[in-house]
Amino acid sequence: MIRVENLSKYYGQGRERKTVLQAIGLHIAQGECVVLKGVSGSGKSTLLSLMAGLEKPSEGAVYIAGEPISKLPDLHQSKQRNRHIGFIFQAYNLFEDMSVYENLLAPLIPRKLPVKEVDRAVSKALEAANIAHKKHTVVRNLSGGEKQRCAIARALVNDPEVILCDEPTANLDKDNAALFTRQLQQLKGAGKTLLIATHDPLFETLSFVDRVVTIEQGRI
Amino acid sequence: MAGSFFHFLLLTLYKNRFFHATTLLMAAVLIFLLASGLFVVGSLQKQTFLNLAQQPEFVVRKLRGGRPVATDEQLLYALQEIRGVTAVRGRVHGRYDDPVFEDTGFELVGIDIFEPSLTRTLRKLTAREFEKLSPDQMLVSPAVKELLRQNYYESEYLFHRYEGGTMRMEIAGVIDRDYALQANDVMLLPMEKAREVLGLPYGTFTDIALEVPNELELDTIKQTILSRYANVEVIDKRKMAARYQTMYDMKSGVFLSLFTVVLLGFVLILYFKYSHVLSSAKREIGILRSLGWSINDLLRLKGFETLCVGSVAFMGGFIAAFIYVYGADAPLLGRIFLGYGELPVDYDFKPFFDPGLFAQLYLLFIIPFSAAVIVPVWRLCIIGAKEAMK
Repeated sequence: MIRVENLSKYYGQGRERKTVLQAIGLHIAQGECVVLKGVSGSGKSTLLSLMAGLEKPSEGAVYIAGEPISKLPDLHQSKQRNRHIGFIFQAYNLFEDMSVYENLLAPLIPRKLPVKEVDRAVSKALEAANIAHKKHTVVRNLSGGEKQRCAIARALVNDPEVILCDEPTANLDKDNAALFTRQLQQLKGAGKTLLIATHDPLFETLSFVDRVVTIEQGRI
Repeated sequence: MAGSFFHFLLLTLYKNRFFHATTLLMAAVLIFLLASGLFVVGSLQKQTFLNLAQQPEFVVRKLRGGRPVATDEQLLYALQEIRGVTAVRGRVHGRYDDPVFEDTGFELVGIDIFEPSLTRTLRKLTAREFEKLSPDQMLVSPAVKELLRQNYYESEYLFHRYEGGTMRMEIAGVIDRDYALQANDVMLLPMEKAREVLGLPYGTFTDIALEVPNELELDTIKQTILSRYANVEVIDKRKMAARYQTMYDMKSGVFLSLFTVVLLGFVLILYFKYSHVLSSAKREIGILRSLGWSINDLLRLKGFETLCVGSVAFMGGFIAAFIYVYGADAPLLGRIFLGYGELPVDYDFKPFFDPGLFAQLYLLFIIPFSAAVIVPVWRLCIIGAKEAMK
């Protein structure tokens, strides 16, 4: 499902050049759950953004569902990201002034779906993330756990095959973190491919995690 | 699905409501100032040219030693004989200063109530009171009427004759306000009375007005007059029009100052918008990019956002200016354009709307206004997509 080939990322040039990722090779199969473990600054987030096509690699390529996402022009790349990838961020990255429903609307707009289909997709994602009862609540008024569930719902609303999580439990307490992992398990059960970038040791002990990949100073 | 897009557009507008409201207000004020200036200038220009259209094609006056002197009836009859001239009329007018009004003079215009070829302008000016005028009565402009009233000349005024002595004239009425632009300092009185005040002998005129209906004959007639009479000056209506055009040209000092202020304000708004988008829209754009929005989608969203705010600001400013100028007669600004003086011009601005000018102004406003958002959004889309990961 995800194939990373000889991926490198540098910032700056000449003496100023800083290598963030170096010759990364990784293959994640459909339905696999992989934990990307590493300390802060090890390059986890950069790897995720390269996988999602949010940044251009300095070398190498990323393939999602067979498409070389890192090499596609913006329009196609965005379309690929929209259809195949769902993001769950550490800071949730929700629009605080909008309701849960309106936050879920955002990923659906580029697809130009009819209103009925939009409502259906939103309802399905809200149910899956167990946040349907807060559909019309403004995000600002949600608790941390509810915000995380809203972020999950938003990541699921386009029914993507791949879910990328960046430090998903960093802002959650123990109970909410446990609830989140149960939801991840459900997603895995639904056949989603999961890549979780984290330094939380909780994920190493989870039964549904297939693999733990350690990233250190930009290398796997 | 346009419905969701516009729903989201409204949400983002609401989300940044304070910023949008601030730029909307600032832009609307600038548009209001600029449009008010244009309306005032346009209206004055239109009215001036309407009045000018009613003037005779030529005015001929006699010169002696390069100075204008009284013209006799013989010249009037001679001019009437020129082929192409359909009407001639001797005019009596001149400046009258009264020491009581230190900074103000009046323009005395003599009218012959029995003269059938009274100009269209005069006929309009005097339409209401003309038939009732007796030899001891006169008409004055509203501004003159007010000035006289302030100096205790409630219903009559005392002229000083050229030959000495005084002459009492009753104020029988006022001239229509529409003519305030050209006749703000005018006193209309019977021709003989005007001659008495100005010191013109009986049967003489200040100048002679000629009517020539055929435009093609204008140059020939002018040449004929100049070749026949050595000591005359021929004032052409076309020259007067050019002079008026210069007077109301948009490059005039007042408008240029206003325009400069508006332009500076507009540049500040653009800078404000540009820097605000660069600093505050980073995260929003980063999130939307991570959700699969393409650069085109984001440019469309931000473009519509700006178009909404810009168009509302433009229309708001424009409509407010229209009401301010034509509904309220542009207090303050109108005075700046009309000028200050002892005789304030009391003028009703006549609605003037030029669709071409409207479209031009809108484009000149909306293009840079939109660019101030589109350019930083585009930059952020290129370099700031990773912002959501922070």
